[in-house]
Amino acid sequence: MVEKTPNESPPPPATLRLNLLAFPTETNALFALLVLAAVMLAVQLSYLIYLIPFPNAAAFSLETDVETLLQGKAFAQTMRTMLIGLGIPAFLISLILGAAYWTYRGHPRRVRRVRRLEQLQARDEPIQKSVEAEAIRIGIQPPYPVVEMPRGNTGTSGQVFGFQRNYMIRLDGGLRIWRRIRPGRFRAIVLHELAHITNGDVWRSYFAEALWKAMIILSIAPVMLNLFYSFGLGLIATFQGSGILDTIAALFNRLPFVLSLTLQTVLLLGVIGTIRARLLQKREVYADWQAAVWGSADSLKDIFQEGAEKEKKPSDLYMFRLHPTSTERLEILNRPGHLFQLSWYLPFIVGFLLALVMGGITLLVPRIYLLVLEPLRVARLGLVENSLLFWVVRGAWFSVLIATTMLMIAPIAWLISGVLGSQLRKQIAANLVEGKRGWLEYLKLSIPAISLIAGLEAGFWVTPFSIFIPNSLAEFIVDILMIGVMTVLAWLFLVYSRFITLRLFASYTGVKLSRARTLISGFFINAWIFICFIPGLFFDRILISHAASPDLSVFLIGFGIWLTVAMAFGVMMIVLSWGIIKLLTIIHAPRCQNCGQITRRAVPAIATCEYCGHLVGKWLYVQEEN
Amino acid sequence: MWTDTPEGNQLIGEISKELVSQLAPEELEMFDELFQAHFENQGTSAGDDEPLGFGGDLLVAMTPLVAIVVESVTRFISEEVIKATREESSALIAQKVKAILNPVKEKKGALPALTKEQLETVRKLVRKEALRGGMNTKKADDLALLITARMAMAD
Repeated sequence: MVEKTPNESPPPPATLRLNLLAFPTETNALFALLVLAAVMLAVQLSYLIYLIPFPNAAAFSLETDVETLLQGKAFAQTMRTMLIGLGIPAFLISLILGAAYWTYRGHPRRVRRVRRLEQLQARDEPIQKSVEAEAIRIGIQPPYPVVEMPRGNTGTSGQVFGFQRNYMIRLDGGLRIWRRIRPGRFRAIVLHELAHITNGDVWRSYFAEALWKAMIILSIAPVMLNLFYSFGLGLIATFQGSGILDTIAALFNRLPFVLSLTLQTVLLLGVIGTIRARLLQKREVYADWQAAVWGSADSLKDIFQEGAEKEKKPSDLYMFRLHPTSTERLEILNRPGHLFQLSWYLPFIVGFLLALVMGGITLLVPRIYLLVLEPLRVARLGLVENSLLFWVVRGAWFSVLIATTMLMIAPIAWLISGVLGSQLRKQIAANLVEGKRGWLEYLKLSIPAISLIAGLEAGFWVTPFSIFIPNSLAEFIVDILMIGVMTVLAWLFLVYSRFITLRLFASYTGVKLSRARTLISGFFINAWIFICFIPGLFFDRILISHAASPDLSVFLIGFGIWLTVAMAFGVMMIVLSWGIIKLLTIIHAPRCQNCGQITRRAVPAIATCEYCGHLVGKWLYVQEEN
Repeated sequence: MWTDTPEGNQLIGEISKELVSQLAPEELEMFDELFQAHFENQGTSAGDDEPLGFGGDLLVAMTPLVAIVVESVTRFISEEVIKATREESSALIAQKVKAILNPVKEKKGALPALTKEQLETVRKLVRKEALRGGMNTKKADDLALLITARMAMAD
């Protein structure tokens, strides 16, 4: 077994760094998850906006849709319900994404206006030439980014903005001076900005920023509507002759509702604001890391050292800032190992966003089922029972049901594995180098597992009018019990991910990350989440909502059956994936990329060759340039 | 004020250049350009927390800040000299200011002495201006020490 055998090879040269970008970065998937969460939040809020002024409105309630679906009401009525049920969320989703896109498209204009940027004068041409030279050196394809600067000689920052094939870099006036007296620092800032381009940060960051602004407006809308409904209409009623005491009493009745909605909205925005800030902060340190690999490590440390000396204590709003402090950036440059760890925070964010996604999906699913299944159901009604066509249509109905379910749940599985799986791969790479192996590392995965479920619960509790929070003591007790069960399931998912990733990548010795092994690992991890984790999330909520209902035992049996099947499937997956990995190792024995000999090192991915002394595989390391 | 005259500017430039040669010799090559920049708005710009900005903001160069500090010190000393010698001509006042700020170059006989309190005030003034301009604490202390030590030579 790979884990039990020590790696006996000497360590690689110090100029080689463990490659942070060897695996796809987890922030890409986290960004996609943030967008999906925003969309699903829009779905939930669309329901709320409709519900606030019309609390008894049946046309848009989930129950009505389900009832329509189950009882097979008239086709026209079903379609009408479906159209209302999907039309309003679709409108709000279009609104939030449209507003975000419009803000995103306007960001170059805003940067130019705020920073008073101008096109370069003839005397600044050497600056453009320097930037182009660096872009060519690191392999950026033309058209090269265009530098824009303000007048004067103040400021020492840079900023990349614009769109693909039309990037611009803002360089502050002080960089005119730095280019001449501190060229190393000038180059470090240029390389940092170019790293944002090669890391694919530009559109993601500006779109995340635009989406954040759209989400603020969208989240505040129900609060404002509610305040207007609660207080504005009360005042109007008073003017129209209602007794003032009646109005005050009515207002006090609605006060807890208004306060809880406001508090939830503030908390929701606070957490999402922090997530957005952490996402952008992470991309900053990745750009620092990349610029350091391109040869600016010393200059960056010099800049951050000076910044750290001037730095005051971070303000209380630090968590919303888009940049880590100079002290943190210096610390990460000195010890990049931090970037390879799976901390508690990332799973918490995933759990939180997952809660928002689940809320939206639960509202959308029955309506989407109606849209795609109802025409088939109606078509089946006109057919002779047990005829061939009847069974074809019935088969189509089930196929569409399964396909629709997969289409809705698969992206969630992909996003969870995209974020947590990617970071876990990095942690495993670091663990291999540090020699951290064995059962203790598996046990430590319980911390991210707990964080994931804690984030999920937090997400349910701060979503305004969440349909997933317990409403009675019985529901609360079931919730607590299910938190334990789900934490174990989350831990099993992480354990399996570590198991398969470790075995697939520790033995790989290519020059670049293996596409085949990435696909295999992605397939198995996604399958595990899809079958052994996500259904549990929904079952969990169904059990909680039926805690005080006589139907609880039925759902408990259902949950038990699913759990048994899922665990059996899990064991099968372990055996199957282990077999495939063994087969891969036999077919593609690990060979040294330098001398071509088959190596017998315990962990070939990080080892040096026993025949020629060079690194066996090159994909996990990167050469630091000067 | 005398500090705003060409003669005053020349003195500020000379002293600044001498200090820069000790604190940031790499800036000497473009000293004149940087010295001119101190008449513009200097120091660090507003904090940068834009998406994909580099973040933070550091001192661009020492020269403009040193020039600002020297200008403040010159202004302070001019005021002190004027207070002490009300009846003397402006030419003589200028000579005394130069003597205090540039004791090595000026004639020994023209040197008036600064009291310990005045030297302490100068030290604090330099430190305050340097920190305000974006210099870190250690460099601000170094600059304050350099300037006060140089003036203490007039004693």
